[in-house]
Amino acid sequence: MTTTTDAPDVADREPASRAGTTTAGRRGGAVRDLARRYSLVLLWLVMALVLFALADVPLSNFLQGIFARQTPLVFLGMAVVLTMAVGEFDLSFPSVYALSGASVSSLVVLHGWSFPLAALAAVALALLFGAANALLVVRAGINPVIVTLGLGSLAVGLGGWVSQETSVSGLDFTLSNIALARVLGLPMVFWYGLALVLVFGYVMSSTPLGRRILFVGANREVARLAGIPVARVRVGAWLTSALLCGVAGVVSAAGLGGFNATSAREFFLPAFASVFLGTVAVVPGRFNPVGMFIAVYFLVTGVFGLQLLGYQGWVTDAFYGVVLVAAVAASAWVQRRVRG
Amino acid sequence: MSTTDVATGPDHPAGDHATATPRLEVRGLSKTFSGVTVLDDAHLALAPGEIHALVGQNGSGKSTLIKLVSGVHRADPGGEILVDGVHLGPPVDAGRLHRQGLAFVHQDLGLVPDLSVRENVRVGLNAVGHLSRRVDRAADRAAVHRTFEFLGVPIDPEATVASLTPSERVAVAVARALQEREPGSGVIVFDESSRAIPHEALPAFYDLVRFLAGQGTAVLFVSHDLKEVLSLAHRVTALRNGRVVEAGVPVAGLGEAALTRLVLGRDGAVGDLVGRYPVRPRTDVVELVGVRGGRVRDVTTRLRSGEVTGVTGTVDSGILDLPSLLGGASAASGTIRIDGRDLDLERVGVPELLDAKAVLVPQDRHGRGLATDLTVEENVTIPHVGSRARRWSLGTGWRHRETDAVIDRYDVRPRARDAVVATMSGGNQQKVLFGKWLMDRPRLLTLEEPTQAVDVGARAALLEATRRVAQDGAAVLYVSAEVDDLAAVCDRLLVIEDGVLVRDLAGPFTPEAVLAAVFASPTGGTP
Repeated sequence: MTTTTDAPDVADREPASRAGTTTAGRRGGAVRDLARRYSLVLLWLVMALVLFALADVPLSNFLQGIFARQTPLVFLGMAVVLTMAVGEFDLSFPSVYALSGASVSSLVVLHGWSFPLAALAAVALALLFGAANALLVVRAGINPVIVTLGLGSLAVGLGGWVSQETSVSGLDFTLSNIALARVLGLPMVFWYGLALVLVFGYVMSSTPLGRRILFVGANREVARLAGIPVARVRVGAWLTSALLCGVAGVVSAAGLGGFNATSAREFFLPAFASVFLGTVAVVPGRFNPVGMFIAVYFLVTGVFGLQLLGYQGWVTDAFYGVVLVAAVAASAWVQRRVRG
Repeated sequence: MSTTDVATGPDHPAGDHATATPRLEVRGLSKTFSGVTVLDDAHLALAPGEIHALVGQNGSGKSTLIKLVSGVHRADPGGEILVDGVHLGPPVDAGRLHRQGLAFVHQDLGLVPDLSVRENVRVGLNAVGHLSRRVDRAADRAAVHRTFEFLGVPIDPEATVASLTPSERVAVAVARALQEREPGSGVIVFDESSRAIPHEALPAFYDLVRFLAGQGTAVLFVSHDLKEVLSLAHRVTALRNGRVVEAGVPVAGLGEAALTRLVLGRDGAVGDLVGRYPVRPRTDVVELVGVRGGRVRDVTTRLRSGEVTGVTGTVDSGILDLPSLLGGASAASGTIRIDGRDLDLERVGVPELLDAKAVLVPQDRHGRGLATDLTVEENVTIPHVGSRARRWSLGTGWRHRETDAVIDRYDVRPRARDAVVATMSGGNQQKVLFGKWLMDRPRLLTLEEPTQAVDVGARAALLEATRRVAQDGAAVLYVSAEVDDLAAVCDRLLVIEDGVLVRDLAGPFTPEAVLAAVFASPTGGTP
């Protein structure tokens, strides 16, 4: 649609200069754009090939080791993407995950609850923490770093209390099908993660709700003046994020047949690393689910490959740490490129 | 070192310096950002004691040139920057510029309000004890005192910057730029500095600039305000589309029209906008009843649809607060009545106001107007996402159509839906902001200083858009202190004093008439 001014004497338009170069430049730009969006995938493939070549294991084992891994990282990464996307900052997610996992196992094993009821209770508990975060950050306006640091510690404490400071095990092993039943050779956990990422990826990129989330994260005052219910969007992000942590705890506990609350902290760094690494992929410069998903498997591949080469323990921490810093640096660089 | 011939204009004020080496000389500077040349072979020469204006539209390459000279960006290979004949760069080392005789006073002045004048002036140059490395406050205070004495402004070095008047703050920024400099040496660049200064303080600022030049310092004065350039500068260099189109033209021979042509490459006069877009008579009205909040105590009036109603007054009259009240941006009471629907400002929020098509285009483009990290398309369509899109799908067609319409109608550059707003010039950002709110046929449109910080080309486009949206049926409230703009677009003028409407005048207006209306003695009642 072309609307031209109906006042000829204000024909204040300079001839469209460089018109010829833009179309020619656009094709080169499209290739560059594609390269920019998917350079992380390329990097991942290169790393996987190198590790595979060095590791001397059958390909199917190598792939199983990466994709069949029982990890809550995609769930937790998604929880972090959501809070970051609306401009919040959450340090409590691994603790809420741990509280949920510890609660469901303890309620069933130590207190004899039925699994469905215990699962509901665990998720409700997680939501309670989400609501508390939201109340203190959104309503009371307290710094989210402080709030989530404090409430995270409270969640860890509660998790220790309900599990009586032990690693609870002994859930009915048939429950592990919830997490580990195989479809197309890969466990349900992988498919849950994929479905989650695709659904949230769609919501964030292609629905009115996604646009509202985008503007709340970009500039709250601009969002408010465009009629967006900013507080509701923020509260929604906190609650959904907590819900994901709660569900992740239940699924993990079912898959493992129990839960060790103290193990949850190990997901803290890789979750942040995947979320930031994810901002250099697919939708560069923005927190996005699909980028995060790719980044999770990038990290898993790295850690697994290093394990195959005989590096364990401390190497994992070092690897996550380096990737987190590199990811944040790369994402800052992408941000600068996007802004010009 | 050779001097260029442009450095010796015929009417040059500092005749005895005319043959001297230029204080600042720029030769053949270019800058390319990812394949796009934004500045091409720029040259510039400032004689000692000269006030040299740099003019150009937003996006003309003006700010790029300043950023190359100040070392923010690195120039493409090939050019040269000289200060007093000495090679400075590129590359320019921003950390050493002050010692090399080049100082900058930026738009926002770069002062920390909570710190003292002394701390602000001396930052980076503190006098310190030899062994202890402790800041020697007494020495700093003395140095600041000397600089203010030279500038002839009595400011207490221990006062906090927050407690100063705007013109005193400018003096502090200038003092920082000039300290420890031999009087009359070097170059000082004022990068749109006058925008930080309220009207009444401008004469003192101009005196300061003239004083500096009189001492022999060369002044590079970057400004959008052509009247200011005409009254202050000796010579002017104009940029257009990344090229210097005129270098060092004596201002004495130019009028405002000639200078505008220099900037635009064509006549930029807005002409008779009211005549060209006359009021189309309508019967419907938008009423404001007892609107109050902030400094506004009571605004009650009937706005006719199809008319542009100007609202003006002095800075402390309440005009600064009124737009936010009507747009739901700050707490207000009173009622807006549109089509028989009463909007109680104490109860309704932004969504209800938007639903009744009462729209605010805020002055604070970055804080309130646009999400600058997002694209043109995202910014233009966000107000309509709720009404145009389906719940679970944004849809593409309508977004592309609306964005293209905004780009076409307001001639937004670059002509790209997915351009990130932050990468665009101020004037183009303002066009995007207009497009965002004007495409939806508002009933009550409140414009808050819509032409601030845009160039003459964008100004003409925005004023024209204002008339057109009124013709389309909006009751437009044009809140501004710019007398020229008010005279150009308004059918009617309301003057606020002390939070209440005191005058209600019918157009057409001349700028002088608008000014007279603001400063006329109070009539003592609401019309």
